[in-house]
Amino acid sequence: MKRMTALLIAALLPFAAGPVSGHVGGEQPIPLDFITGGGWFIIQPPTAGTSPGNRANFGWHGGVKNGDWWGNGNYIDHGTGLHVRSTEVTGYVRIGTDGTDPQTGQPTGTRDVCGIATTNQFGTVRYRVRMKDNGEPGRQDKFGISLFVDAGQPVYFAWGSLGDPTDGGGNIQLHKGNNSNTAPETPADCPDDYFTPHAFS
Amino acid sequence: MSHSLFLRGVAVGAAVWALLAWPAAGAAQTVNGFAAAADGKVAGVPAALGHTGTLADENDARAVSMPDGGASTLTGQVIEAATISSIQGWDSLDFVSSGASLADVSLSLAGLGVAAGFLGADAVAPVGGSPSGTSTITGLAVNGVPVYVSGAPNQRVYFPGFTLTLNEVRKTTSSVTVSALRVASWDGLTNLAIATATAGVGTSSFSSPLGLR
Repeated sequence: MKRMTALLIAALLPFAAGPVSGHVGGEQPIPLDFITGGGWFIIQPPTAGTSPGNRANFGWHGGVKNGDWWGNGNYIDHGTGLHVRSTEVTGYVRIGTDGTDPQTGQPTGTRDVCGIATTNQFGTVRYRVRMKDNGEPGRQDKFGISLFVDAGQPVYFAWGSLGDPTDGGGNIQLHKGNNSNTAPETPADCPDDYFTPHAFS
Repeated sequence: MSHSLFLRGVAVGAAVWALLAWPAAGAAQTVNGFAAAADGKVAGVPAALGHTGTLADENDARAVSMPDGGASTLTGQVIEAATISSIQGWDSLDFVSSGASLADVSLSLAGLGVAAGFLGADAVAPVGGSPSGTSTITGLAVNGVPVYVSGAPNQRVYFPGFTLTLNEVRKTTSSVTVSALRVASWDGLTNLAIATATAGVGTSSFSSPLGLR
């Protein structure tokens, strides 16, 4: 029992520290580009609402287009049976600084896509998805998802790498924008960032 | 107006008309992008799943996300397809890229059961550069037997009545189409690309009958 309690405390501790930043909107200018990707990964610690080692699949995209938020996505946790389906995008945020893939000359970087989703386990949720393009091939790309029912800690938190160093596959691609990438007038509306302090940035 | 002045005017007018009417060759820069979870035909019937449609112009971006879906005898989950033009000035940093992926794939044909944990394809065509692409194939099995994936382009595996092409790459100087898996029947009735992405940039020549560009 003591061991169980210790494990539970250890699992919850990472989230007790709270987010590095609050709701976004104004942290950085809205990136005028797109990010897309699909793949699978093995969920890594820390987690919430799932367990490390579970296999997950995702297909997601986000950006800004013609003065509006742009995106959609789907996610499955094969360990818990969770299905997530985006119904609305409310924000698109640059995380850190962008780079350039020396092999392809294409941009690399991290974006958060935020919005509202339906799920088969938590009902309607707010979500914040993190997509990291680490260059080609996509083995070192990363994907993470956090789901919120109320303000505060996420009811679900999972992330992983698309093949390096853990099992996975797929690709995340950051796309330089075109002339349709104009920013919305409304600021990004995103739940708190639990990725930067607990998983990856 | 004298007769010679009139003739001179007619001659000048004719020369101007001839210049305008001279067919002029020109070149317009074009984008070519498309992605789909599946595209082709099954048993002679057109089959498409998670189809983005083709890029309309250099300011276009198209994407499709579906939790699951099926086309004919094909099913899959977390279907994602996108084709995006990243062109602002037609310089060397601009490109067109497309990608498609789906998980938990199942295809049932007469005597052939194809399954895969994940199939993905990505294609990119930089302005002034060589187009390229890659595939991701995980857990491919035919009739329950795992299929070895070499990673080489256009790996072919033969089964009675069918040819499977893994990591199919069809390339021209200006565009590339990458399909993680193509299933083709020997009778020609089934030819289905699963997780397929096309990206291209190029020029299309045109001529104006009025000599205007």
